[in-house]
Amino acid sequence: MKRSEFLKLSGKLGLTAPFLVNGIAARASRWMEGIDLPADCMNITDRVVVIVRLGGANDGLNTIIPISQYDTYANIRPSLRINQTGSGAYIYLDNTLPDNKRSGLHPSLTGFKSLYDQGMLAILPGVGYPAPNYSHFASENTMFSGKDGNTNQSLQDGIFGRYLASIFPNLAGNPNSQNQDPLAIHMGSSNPSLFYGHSHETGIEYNITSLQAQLWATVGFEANAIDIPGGSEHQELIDYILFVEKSMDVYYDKVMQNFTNGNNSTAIYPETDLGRQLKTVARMLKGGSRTKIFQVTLGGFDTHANQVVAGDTHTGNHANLLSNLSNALLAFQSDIETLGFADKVMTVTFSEFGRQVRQNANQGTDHGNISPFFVVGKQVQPGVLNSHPVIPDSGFQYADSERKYDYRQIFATLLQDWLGSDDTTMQVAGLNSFSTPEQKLPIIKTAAIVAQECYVRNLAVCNTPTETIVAIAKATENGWTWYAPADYTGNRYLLGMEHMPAEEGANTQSFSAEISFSKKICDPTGNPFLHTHIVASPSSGCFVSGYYWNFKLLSGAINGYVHVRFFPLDQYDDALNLAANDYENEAHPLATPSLLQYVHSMEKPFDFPADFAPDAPALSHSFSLLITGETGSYLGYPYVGFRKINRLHQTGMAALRLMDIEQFAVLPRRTFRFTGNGHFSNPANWEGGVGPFDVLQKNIDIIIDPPADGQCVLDVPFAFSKEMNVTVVAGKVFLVQ
Amino acid sequence: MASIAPRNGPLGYSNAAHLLRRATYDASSARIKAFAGKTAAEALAQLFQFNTALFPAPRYNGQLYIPTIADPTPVFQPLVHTNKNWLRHWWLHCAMTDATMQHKLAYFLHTIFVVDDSTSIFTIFDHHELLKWHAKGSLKELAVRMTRNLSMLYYLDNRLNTLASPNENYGREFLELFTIQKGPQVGTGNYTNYTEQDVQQAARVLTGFDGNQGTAESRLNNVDAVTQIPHGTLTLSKHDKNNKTFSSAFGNRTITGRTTTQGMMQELQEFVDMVFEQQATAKSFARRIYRFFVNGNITDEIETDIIGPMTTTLLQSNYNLQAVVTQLLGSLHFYDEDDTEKGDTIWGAKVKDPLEYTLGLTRTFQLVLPNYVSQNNTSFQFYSNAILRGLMLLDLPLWRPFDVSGYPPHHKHPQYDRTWITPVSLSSRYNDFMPPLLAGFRYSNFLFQVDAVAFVHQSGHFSDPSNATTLINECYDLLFPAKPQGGRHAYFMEALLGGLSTINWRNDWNNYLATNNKATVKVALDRLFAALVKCPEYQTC
Repeated sequence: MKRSEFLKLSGKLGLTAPFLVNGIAARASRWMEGIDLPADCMNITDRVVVIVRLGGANDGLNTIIPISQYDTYANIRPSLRINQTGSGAYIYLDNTLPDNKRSGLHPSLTGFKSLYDQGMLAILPGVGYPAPNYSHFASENTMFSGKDGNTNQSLQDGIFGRYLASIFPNLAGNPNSQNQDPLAIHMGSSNPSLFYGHSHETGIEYNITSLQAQLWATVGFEANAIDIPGGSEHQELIDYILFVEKSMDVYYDKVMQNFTNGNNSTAIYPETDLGRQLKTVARMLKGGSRTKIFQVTLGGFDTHANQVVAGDTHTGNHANLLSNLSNALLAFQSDIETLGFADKVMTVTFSEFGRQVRQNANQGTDHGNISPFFVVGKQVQPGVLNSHPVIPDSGFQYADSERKYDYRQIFATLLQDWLGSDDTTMQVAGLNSFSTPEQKLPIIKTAAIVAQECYVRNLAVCNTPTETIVAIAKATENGWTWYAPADYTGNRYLLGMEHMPAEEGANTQSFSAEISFSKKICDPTGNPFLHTHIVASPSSGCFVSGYYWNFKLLSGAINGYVHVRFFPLDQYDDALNLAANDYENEAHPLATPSLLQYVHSMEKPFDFPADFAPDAPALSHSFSLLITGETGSYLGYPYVGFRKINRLHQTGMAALRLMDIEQFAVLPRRTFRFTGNGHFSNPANWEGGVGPFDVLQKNIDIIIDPPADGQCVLDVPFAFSKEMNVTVVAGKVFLVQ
Repeated sequence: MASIAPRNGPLGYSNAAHLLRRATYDASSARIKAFAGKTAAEALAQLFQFNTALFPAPRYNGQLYIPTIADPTPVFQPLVHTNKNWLRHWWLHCAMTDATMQHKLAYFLHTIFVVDDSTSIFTIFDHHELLKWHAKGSLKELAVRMTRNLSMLYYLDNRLNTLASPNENYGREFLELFTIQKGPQVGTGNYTNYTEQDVQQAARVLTGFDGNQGTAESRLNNVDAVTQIPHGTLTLSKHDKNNKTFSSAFGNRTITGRTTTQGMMQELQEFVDMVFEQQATAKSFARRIYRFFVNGNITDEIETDIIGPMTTTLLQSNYNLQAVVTQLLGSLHFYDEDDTEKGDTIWGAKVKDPLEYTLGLTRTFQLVLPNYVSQNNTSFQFYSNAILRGLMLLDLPLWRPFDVSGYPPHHKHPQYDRTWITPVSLSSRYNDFMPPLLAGFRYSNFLFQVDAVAFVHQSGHFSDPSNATTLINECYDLLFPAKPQGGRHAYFMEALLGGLSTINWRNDWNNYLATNNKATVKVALDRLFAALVKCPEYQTC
C-alpha cells in the first residue's frame, strides 16, 4: 500500500464513526458487532473486565490478617506485624463472619472496607496454582497462559488472547468501521502481557502506556513529566518517526476519540499512577470505548526489604501501595456508579504469587506460594469466600492443601458467568475444566450471572469432519497444476495452482502437495448471520466453498507466493459477485478488510450456505481480491483466481505478507523406496505409490530395493544430485538403460 | 560556522561508533572499541584498505559459476540464468563481512550510476565489480568506463545510439542524473549547467559505443586493460565522425570528430574531461556524497563551508573518491565538533537505509551465519528469504531501482532519507526482523537466532550485566546515537525489569550465572532487545 493511501485510511478510521459516542448507557445493545443474542440477556455484551495487576507479588498476610491466628502471625512477623489494637491497628472487617474467616484489613485499606460495607467486594483468600514457580517472569507467564507449574511447554498464548481471538477472529489489529476499538487495553506497563498473547492473531493487546502522559496532560491530570531533550536534529528525526508510528497505529484515533469524548464524575481519585489509570478507564468507557478487557498496573509489591517502617508497621512501602490500591478502586467504583455503568464493570486484582509467611531479615518478605485476590463491582456477590489459609508451624510457605482456589477458577467464572462465554470458547481459552458448576466461584450476584441461553455462542463444531475430499495433482499445463481427487475420473478439477509464477517474490521451488477439504462446522440454528471461527490446525485455512482446506506439502519447498484458481459453485458465485460490487462501491471499503465481514455487518440478503464459515483468515484477505481478481475458464468451467497466495502451507490463503519466516520451516528428510519390479518412472513401483519425481533435488533418500527376482530399471532421465542419498540394497538389481 | 578542518586526536568510543555506523555496515562492539583509539585519519585509512582477495568468489549451489579473467575455469550453468538472487546473495555476503568501506561505497556509486538488473547474470556481476573497483578510485575515470559498461549500454540503450539513428537516452542521463545535473531552467532547453544542444552533441560523441553481452566465456574476450572487467565494443561505422560543438555552458567547446576507434575513445575522454572540468559537476558529486554520509539537510552554511571545500578537493584530485570521503568523514563537521554544542546536529540525524538496517542488525547482534562456501545453500536461503525480502519490505528492491533516478530516498528532495520511513516500512522494521530473530528460525536445520542471554553474557560488550543501569547504558552505547533520557530511559528500563526492582534483576542474573538456567533472564532480555530495536531511536544513525 502506498503511504498516502495508508495515511488516508488511518485518518478515516477516526472520522467516520458511524455510531453514537455519548456513553455506554446510551448506545445500542451490541458491544462488538457480529454477535446477536436474545433480547433479555441483560446486554451482557456491554460488560467489561478490569484487571488490576499487582506487580511484584503482594504480601497477602499483611493485607488480610487472619484474626483467629493472630498470635501465630505476630510471632512469625515480629517487626512486620500489624497491631491488633491501638495505633496503626488493623481494620476489623466484619464481626458477623465465622472465626476462620474473621479478617483484619491492613489499616491502609479503608477503601476496601468501604467497598465491603457497600456489598461490592469479594475476598478470595489463598489463591495460587499447583507447583508454583517463584520467578516473577515464569510465574506470571504461567498464570497469563492459564497453566500451572507442571507444564513445561513453551507458552505462546494467553487466556484472554485465546478468548478474544475466538470471539472476535481476525479483528485484532484489523479494525473495521463496525469494530474500531482495541480488544484489550493495557496500561501502566509498556511490556506486552502474555495474557493477550495469541499464536497467530497479533495485536489483541493495545498498550497505551506510552500515551499516558499525553492523555493525562490533555485533561489536566497532574503532568507525569517526560523529559525529552529538545532542539537536536536527532530529536527532530525521532519526532518524525514517532509521527509516522502514530499513523500506522490503527487504534490511535479511536482511542483518543473515546478519551476526548468521555468524562469523569466528581469522584476524587488518588493522585497516583494507578488512580490516573483507572480514571482513564472510566473516562474511555464513558466516551464509547467497546474494549472488552482493560488491564491497569500497580508495581512495587516485590517487598524484599523495608516493607514497613520499623516500629511503625502500618506505614511504609506496603502501606502506601495498599492505600493507593484501595482508594483508587473506591474512587473508580464511585465514578462509574455516577457515570451510570457500574453494573457493567467487574474488577479483579491479580498477583503473580504471594509472599512467605515468615518475614526475612531486611524488614521484608520473600516470594511465597499463595495470596488473596479481590473482586470488586456492583454485581459482585460480596463476602469472604473461604477460610484463611492456616499459617504453618514451621517453614516459609503455606502447605499446598491451604491453597483455597486456583486462579483459573476466578478467570473461568468471569469469562463464563460474567462475560457469557460458551463452553466451546472456554475450551479454546483453555479453562473449560475450571468452568464446570463445581469449579466456578460464587463471586457474581445470582441475578447477574449470564444465563446459558445468553452465552455468546460459537457455532457447534462438528465432532468429526465430514465429507473430506483429498485432491492431488492430476495434470500440469502451461505452468498450472490442476488438482482433483485421486480416484476421480471425470474431466474437471477442484482447483488449479501455478506453482512457480515467473514474478518477483513468487515461489521458485518445485513441490508437490495434496489438498484436503473438509466440512468442520455444523450450524444448528441455520441463522445465516451467525458466524464463527474454529481453531483449525496450523496448516489449514478456509476455502471459499465453505469447506476448510488443508494444504499438505508432500515434497519440495515453497519460498514465495503461488497463484490459485478454483471453481466456485454457481450458487455462491453470483451472490458473491453482487456483494463484491456493493462492497467495492462502499465509501471506504478498505476499512472493512473482509468482504464477508462487510456482507455480514450490513446484513445483506446474502444466501450463505448453512455450513459457510465466512470469517476464516483466508477469506479476510482473499475475498477483497475477488473484486479485481481474475476470472476465466478452464475446460469450459469458469474459475475465480486468487493471485499471490503466500503462507500456503501455514494458513491456507492468508496472503499479503511478503516476508514471513515461519513459512520456511524445514521439511523433514524424505525417503523414497523402490519396492516394485520394473520401471523407475512408475509410481506404483514405489512404496506408498510415490516416487522421487517433481521433488526438490535435495534432502531425500532413495533406496532401490526391488524383490530378489525383480529389478529397477532407470527408464527416464533423472538427475541424481550430491544432496541425494541413493542406496542400492546389497544384492538387488538397479539397471541403468 | 561549519568546519571541514580535520579532526585530530583519538576518536573515542562514540565518535568511532558514529563513523562506523555511517561508513560501514558493521558497527559491532569489538570494532567500535578497536577504532576508538585511532585518529579519524588513521581510521579512514584503514577503512580504505580494500582487500578483495578476502572475499569468496560467487557460487551457485556451492559451485563456482562466473568465469573471470583471474579465474576463467568456472563453467556457467544456464540453469541459474534467471535466478539473480544468487548473485545478490554473494554481494550481500561480501558487504556483510566487509571490514572496509568498499561495498558501502560501491552501493553509493550504484545509487548514482543507476542500472537495473535486466541483463544477464554475468553482465550484472561485471557491473558491480566495476563499482567496487572504483570505490576508491576516480569518479571521472568511472564515468569513462561506465560509458562502455555493458549493463549501462543495455539499460540506457546507448548500444542503439548510431550515426544513422541517434539515441539520446544515455547522453541525457549522463548529464542530467549522473554527473553535472540540471541547474535552474533559464530558457527553453537551457538548464544553466547544460542545454538541449549539449544533450544532442553528447549523444553524437557517444555514437558507436556498442556492445553485446555475449556468453559467460565470450565476454572475457573483450576486457578493459586496467580493470580486467569485460566491456563493450567500439563500432566505427556507427560513429558520428563530424565535429561536435557544445553550448556556452561549456564555453562553446568543439570536440573534433575522429575517424578511428582510438579517436572515438579520445572524443569520449575529451567529453568527460569537459564535463568534469565544470565546478557544477564537482559540486553535484560533493552534495551527493554529503547526503549519503551525513544527511539531506544542506544549509547555506554547509554549502559554503563544507560543500565548497569538497568541490575543490574533487577538482584537484581528479575526482578521487577516497580523498573527498576522507576529507568529509575526517572533518570536525562530521563529528559535530565545529561548534560548541556537540551532538545537536548530524548525530543520529540520518535514517538508517535498509542495508544499514538489515546488515547492521545482523552484525551488531552477532548473528551466527552459515559458511558462504561450505554451506552455500543455507546461506542463500538466509540472504534470499530474510535479507533480500527484508530489503523489499523496507522499500529497497536491491539492484532493481524504481527508475533511472534510482532509489528515491537517496535523491528525493526535501525528505531524502526520511523517505525510508513509511507506515508500512516502519511496521516492518519493528516487527519483521528482531522478533523472529529472537524467537529463532531455521533454514536447512541451521538455527538463525539472536541469543540475547549469550550475547549479553559473552559478547564482551557488557561490563556488568547484573547491574541493570549499566546494562541498559551499554545497550544505548551499542545501538543508539544518543542516550535516551527521562521517560524514554524509564521505558527501556521497564522493558528489562518488567516493573520489578534492579535488585530482582541482579538476583535473576546471578541465579542464571549460578545455574546456567536461562529461562528467566531470557524473558527479560528478549523483551529488552525487542524494545531497543522497535523504537524510533534504533532507526537513526
